[in-house]
Amino acid sequence: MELKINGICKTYGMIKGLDKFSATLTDGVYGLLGPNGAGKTTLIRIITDSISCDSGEISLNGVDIKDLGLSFRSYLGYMPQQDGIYPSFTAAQYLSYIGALKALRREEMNRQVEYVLKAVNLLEVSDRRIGTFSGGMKQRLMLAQALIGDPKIIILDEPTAGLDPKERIRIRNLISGYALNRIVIIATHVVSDVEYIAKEIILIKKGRLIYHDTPDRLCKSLENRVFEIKTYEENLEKILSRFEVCNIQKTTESIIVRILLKENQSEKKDLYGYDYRMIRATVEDVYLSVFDEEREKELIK
Amino acid sequence: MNLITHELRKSFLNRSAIIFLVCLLAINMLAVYISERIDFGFDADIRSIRKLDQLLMGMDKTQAEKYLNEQIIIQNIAIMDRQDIIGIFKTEYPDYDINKLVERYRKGDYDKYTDIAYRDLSLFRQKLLEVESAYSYDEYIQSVINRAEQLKKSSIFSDTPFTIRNASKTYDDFNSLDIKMVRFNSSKGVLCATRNGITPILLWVFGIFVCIQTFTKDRDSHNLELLRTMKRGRKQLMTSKLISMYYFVSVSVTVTVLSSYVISYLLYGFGDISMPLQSVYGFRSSIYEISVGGYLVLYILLFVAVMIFLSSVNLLIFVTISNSLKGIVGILLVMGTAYILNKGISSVSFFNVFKYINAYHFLDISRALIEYLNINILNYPVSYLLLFLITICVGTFAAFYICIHISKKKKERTYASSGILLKARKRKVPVAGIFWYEVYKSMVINPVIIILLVFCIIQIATVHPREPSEILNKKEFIYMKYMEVLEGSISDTKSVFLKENLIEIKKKQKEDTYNSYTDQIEVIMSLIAKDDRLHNLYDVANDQTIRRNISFIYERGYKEIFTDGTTTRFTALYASVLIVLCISGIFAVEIKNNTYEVITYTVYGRKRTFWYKQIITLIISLIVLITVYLPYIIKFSKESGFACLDAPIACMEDFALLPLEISVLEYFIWLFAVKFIGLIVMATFINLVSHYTGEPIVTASISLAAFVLPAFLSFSGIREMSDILMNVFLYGNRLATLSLALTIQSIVLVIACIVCFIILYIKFNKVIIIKNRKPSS
Repeated sequence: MELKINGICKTYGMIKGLDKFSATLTDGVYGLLGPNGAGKTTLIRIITDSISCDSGEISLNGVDIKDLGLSFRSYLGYMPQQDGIYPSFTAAQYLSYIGALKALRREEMNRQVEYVLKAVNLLEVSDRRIGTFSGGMKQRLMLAQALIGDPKIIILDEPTAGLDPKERIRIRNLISGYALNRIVIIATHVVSDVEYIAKEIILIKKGRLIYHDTPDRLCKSLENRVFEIKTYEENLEKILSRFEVCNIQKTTESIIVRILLKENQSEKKDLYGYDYRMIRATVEDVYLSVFDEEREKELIK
Repeated sequence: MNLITHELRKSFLNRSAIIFLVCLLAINMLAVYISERIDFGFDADIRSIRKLDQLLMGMDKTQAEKYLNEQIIIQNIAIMDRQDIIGIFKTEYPDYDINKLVERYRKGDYDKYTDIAYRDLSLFRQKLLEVESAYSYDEYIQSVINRAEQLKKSSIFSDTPFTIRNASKTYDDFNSLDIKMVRFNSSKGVLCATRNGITPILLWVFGIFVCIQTFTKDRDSHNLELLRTMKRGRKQLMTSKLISMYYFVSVSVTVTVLSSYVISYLLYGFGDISMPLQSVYGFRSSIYEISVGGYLVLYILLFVAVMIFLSSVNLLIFVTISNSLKGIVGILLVMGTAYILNKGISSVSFFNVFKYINAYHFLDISRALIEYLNINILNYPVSYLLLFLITICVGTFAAFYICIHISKKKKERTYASSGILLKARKRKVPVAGIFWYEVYKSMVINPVIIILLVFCIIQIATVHPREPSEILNKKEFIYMKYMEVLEGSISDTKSVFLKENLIEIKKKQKEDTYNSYTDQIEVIMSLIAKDDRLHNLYDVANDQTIRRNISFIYERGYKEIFTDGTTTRFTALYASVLIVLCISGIFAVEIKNNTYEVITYTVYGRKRTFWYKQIITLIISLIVLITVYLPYIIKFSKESGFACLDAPIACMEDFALLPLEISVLEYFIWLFAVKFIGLIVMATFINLVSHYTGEPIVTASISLAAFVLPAFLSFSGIREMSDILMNVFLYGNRLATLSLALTIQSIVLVIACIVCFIILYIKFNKVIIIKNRKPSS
């Protein structure tokens, strides 16, 4: 299966929501990363046929999704960012309703509802009203509704928000398992959610595609730029002002600061005098390096 | 004490409870006001009753009777200023100088209260009845005592031991009564405050809400499960829940009844509240020596007691039945059974205890104080008030005890040796079609079913046929009797009958010194004129079928529904309020719950959901039409009948200008089709607003201002509003006149409705209009 996004443009008045965005997606998990307002939700809404694009096209296996029309929606499973639930429905009723909307046959419905409820660990509370669910339970239910109907393209907007670490891992594994013969797009801020399961990472900034590559290659792009400095508390302020700090870890004796060298900085010149060692970059480091500007603006605000 | 405070804060000091209470007060005051206006007619100043009452209270018996009789004569002259009528009055009222009264009428030297002669006339007649009733109290008591004594002694009437004992008790009760100085007192305010059927029904519905707030909310949100694990989480918790419920019920009942008092006081006043209760018209069979003021206080106390009892019973049902929805059905069943028993059992039956000592009858609280009633308990007469109080006290205590007892118990779970939970329900995935889920969302999540159910109960309780003697004056009654004979196709036999009958009655009139046949002669003459008109129509008509169908029609029932009188106006008001309340949430529910994004990416989430929502809108509109109009159609069909449906509508004088080709049935269908179209147009606008705002309350507020306000203003007497917006459709009859302005207005509204529908279709289905899409390089 191939979902081809070709030169999508979308403007809201003077603001460019998406600017000639192109990408080709095949089976596997795709991490769609970007700060707020980057255009992630706009892209998702165009893929889910909720809004139209100004120009460009999206095709599934070579056919424009506009021409596919209703049948394209039968391929879709979508989990929006906000909880879209009916508080007075029970979990089973809700999934059964979504199943009906997805044109599931009755005999199939029973099997699928139980399966997804079990998958998201809600089988025990399937007869409870959704209004009484906790935030995490609602989040899992939203994921369940996206998975029901065996969709071939699954789009998840912040799927792990509000989940505890155990559930987060559980859901991550579940998504990973589902992605074997499907296209799964995960839009998130939590880099660790996609780092280990994503086949490819898509970085989007101001509506433009910045990077689209495998996590390994993305990390390689930051080779020789990520370091760990072993220092003491009195030097911390100086390091913070000088480098892009990714992480600070306090040990019994010292402090270990993970830094990212900027384009204009060099190991020999800028790290001279520090007790440091070079380490392998992660996707989080890539994210920080790409969206640094945004972070600065936010800090100023 | 601490637990009760917490329960009160949790259940009742929250937004929904306060909004519900405020709505209850507003609905109660508005409904009481509207029902009074309907009774009096919206074309006259209702405060004239108060003015007249105050005047009469300052007079003694002779003065009051003289004043009222004079006014009645003058108003009669005002309506029928003819020499023969004046002659009749001279015979009928020999003590009055009729010529002088005629002169006063000519000079305009008489009191006008409503500025409408026939309304003033009926007001004076009613007041004359009240005056006579108040000043003949002593004779009434004496007659009851005499009758009771007669029954006691005469074995012919005393067929059962109960009859003898009852007569004896009645004799004792009335004989020991020491009430003096019963004079005329203003009654309407007291009657309006304590005898209206609206407040008890509203408070009963409110009682169910209070139970839900107190108990089922906690249970449904599984809080009860948690609370039960705590030290004071069972017996004490339930006790505090019950006490806080009683407290809230007491406050709500008091405030609501007081709101009825305020409206009644503002409209009519309470007269002299220090006078005995028996001075109020219709209350003279009461055997309690209390003043009107005392009665008003006692009424509130009894009301509180009854509502506490009913709420306890309701809560018991909720506690016993674990499913809240089934609990509500259980409560409705209990009240339904009580209603059937109350209506089905005869008042003289051996089992009349079940007629009177039941939940439905308890809602008519004032009866315990104003009516003299003994219940047959094993052939012994027991005072109704006593039984009423015992039932309420014992019933409340029993319900209280059982609720606490049930809450103390813990449901034991039984496990098989294998460790599997026995009797555990097998998990079943509900399988229903999209349509049924839509119905559930639109009618259960949006409380449409509850709104319609409450409205049905109100309709059943308030709309019922009345006896002709209650609604018709003498002339109307004679007319009705003639129509019973004449109704149907015109014929020469009927014409001859009318003419011969006129001669015969005129002959009788000449022989009768009291001129008692005047009214009858007038009716016959009007019928002869009608017969002539119908024969003219017969001559004009070319089609044989139409000729055959030209008939005498008894118009009273038809007029109520076909013209824009009181019935049409308030049914239009009801219908618009119901449509706004029921439709406001259908599309808003998706936006409000953020489910719009979820359902619209699915295969059937757009068009199918949209069309199902439209079908539900149609169904609700149809149900509203039926619930609003059917009770009135039944009422008028029982009161006056709907005969001659094949006859041309032009046979009725009010519709003389309509073409002969239109039959009564066709007009009937057309009128209701127009009303239905009006409801659909309104619903379409509301649906669009609802989709845009995503908030049922905001939608309802906008729609109330747009649709209900014109209906209300029109109902209140601003006639210009009858031809504005949806009133054109909801009244319907105006469109039949084919007025150009109204026709254009209605066409514009229908076109606007179609545009709204198309916009909603495009918006909801996210129909994307593709304009010159250029593939990007």
